[in-house]
Amino acid sequence: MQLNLKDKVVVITGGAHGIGLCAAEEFRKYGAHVCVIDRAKGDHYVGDIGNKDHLEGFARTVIQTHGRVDVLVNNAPPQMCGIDDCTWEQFQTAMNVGVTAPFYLCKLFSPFFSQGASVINISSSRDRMSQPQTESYTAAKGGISALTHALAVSFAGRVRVNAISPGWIDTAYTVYQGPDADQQPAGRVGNPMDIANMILFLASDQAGFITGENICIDGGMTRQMIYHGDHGWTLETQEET
Amino acid sequence: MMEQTKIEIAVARVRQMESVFDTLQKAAERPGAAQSPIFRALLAQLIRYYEGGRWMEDYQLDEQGLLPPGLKRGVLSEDGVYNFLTELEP
Repeated sequence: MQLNLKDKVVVITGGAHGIGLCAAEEFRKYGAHVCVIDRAKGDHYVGDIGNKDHLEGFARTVIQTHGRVDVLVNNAPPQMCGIDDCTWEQFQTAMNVGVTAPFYLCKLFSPFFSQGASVINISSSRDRMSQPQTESYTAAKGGISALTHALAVSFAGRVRVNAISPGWIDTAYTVYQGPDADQQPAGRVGNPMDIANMILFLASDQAGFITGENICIDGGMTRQMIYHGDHGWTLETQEET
Repeated sequence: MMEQTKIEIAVARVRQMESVFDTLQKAAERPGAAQSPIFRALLAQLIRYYEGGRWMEDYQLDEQGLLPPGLKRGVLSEDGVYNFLTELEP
């Protein structure tokens, strides 16, 4: 499959580690110009996307250097804290990083997106299901999933906007065996390449008929119906353990 | 030698401002461009260049045939920037 990503201007938030780094390296292999913003120190624009001034400075640098944006990957993750301990400030920070920053980057780049550009928002399978004490992260991921279809409609005919909802992705490429792997219909835990491959596809013209979509890449976990006593699933209540 | 350096600096400046002008012209056709802080920052850069005297210096060097023939220099066309800024004004 020809992805034709050579000389594309690609912007990735949180591109210094994990899924963002993996995607950045893959884009570079195809000859794309990759612009990364990350809080971690390194050979990229160092900044906090929860900070409006940092976002504007980064966006100005990208446009002054390249004059346009072909691909925007909103990848930087919000912090996770739960209803018991999460403060107003922590929840607000999660919203800033997870929802406001992707919105504002799209707004900043809006006049500079090339015709047929692609925005890829990294959401999570937690936009539709939860573990206890994950409110800030889950709410932010729900927000970015909804933001995706709103942007897709606003940018119709000009920019495609899609989301990817990863499930359990081990950024250290740990190979899990036993129940951790077997519980997943795909038979294994995911790794960053599972997500990067979809990012590159959605960024390419091969995905030209896909917009406003949210693609869940979770080894099938969210498609699995779970009942006590069914297919080896057993609920052990706290009283029993 | 001094003259050569002056021309090299002018060429680098024209390249940079040509890129800014080109980016602004494309972006101006898009909805919401005037509200974009990035657009406004680039526009301010172009206006500083055009009205601050540097544009005239580069224009005169070009008139004297001192800029390389292959240099892309739409930003130095006599009415280019003026027309662009005038059309933006409303």
